[in-house]
Amino acid sequence: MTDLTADYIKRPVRYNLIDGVDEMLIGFLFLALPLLAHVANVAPEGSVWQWRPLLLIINGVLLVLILVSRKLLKQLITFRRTGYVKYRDSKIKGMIGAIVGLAVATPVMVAIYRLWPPPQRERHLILISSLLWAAFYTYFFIYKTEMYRTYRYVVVLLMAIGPLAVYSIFGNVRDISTLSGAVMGACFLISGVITFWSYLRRTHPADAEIEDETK
Amino acid sequence: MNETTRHLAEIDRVIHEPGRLMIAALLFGVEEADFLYLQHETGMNKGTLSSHLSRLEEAGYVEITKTYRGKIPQTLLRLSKAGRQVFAEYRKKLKKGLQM
Repeated sequence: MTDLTADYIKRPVRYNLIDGVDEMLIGFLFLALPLLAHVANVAPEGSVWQWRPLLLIINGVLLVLILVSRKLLKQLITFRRTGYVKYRDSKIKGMIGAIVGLAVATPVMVAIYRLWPPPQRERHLILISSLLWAAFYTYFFIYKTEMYRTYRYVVVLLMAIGPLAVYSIFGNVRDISTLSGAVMGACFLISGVITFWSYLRRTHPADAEIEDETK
Repeated sequence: MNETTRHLAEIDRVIHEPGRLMIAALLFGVEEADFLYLQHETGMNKGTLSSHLSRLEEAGYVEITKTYRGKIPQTLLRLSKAGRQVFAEYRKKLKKGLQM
């Protein structure tokens, strides 16, 4: 019985990721940022695309666009089909997570820069980041949602080896790290689209009167 | 009455009913949720869910707010402070009762 309640307590967290919206938006962001970096790389010397403040503004606009899109998708689709949930404020948890993340990431980055010379460094950074993203995806979008579907494991595999494979094939391309980032974005986006499509197939917009039943 | 029996005997009967237990557990993890979400997660029909919610509201464990989302009526539900306390206590007692 206690296990049953624990499972029900966790369900709202799972519900937050049930529709694939977050995956799609992370994928969109991961594709847009490398594209922007690529444009800046190939733009001629002195071009407006190489003006750093502009890139920062575009990044900010992208972020706002993603947050607004998320809100709209949730309001217009998810809340109408399977209901609305407001989560408990977990700012302190988030801050602790960010501090721990920084405390771990900083020495790792310093070690990587000191231990490996430039030609090896890029390869190792791509490998480490792809493994980290694959772990992040496995934790949040498989373990947390408990949606053990075959395509998700294929996505994990592509995340773990995809960027490194791209590096091995196109190692001499000028902005190889942006290309590897785009592979990661494509993985998130494809996974999100499959999840979203399957969510739309499984659910239907609720009747208006369903909401107003308690006396 | 030994310790185990005492723990089990003290369990709150309102929360102990499986349907209401599901509702309380779902609301325990969130700030608030609407009627449709609870219906989706519990698989109960409107009438059953409504009657369980009324019982929980009577006991002072759930707060019900009627509002509108655009033009569509929406019923928002949240565990009250007492509801949270009773649910946490229930889990603790049940765990102790079953472990001994």
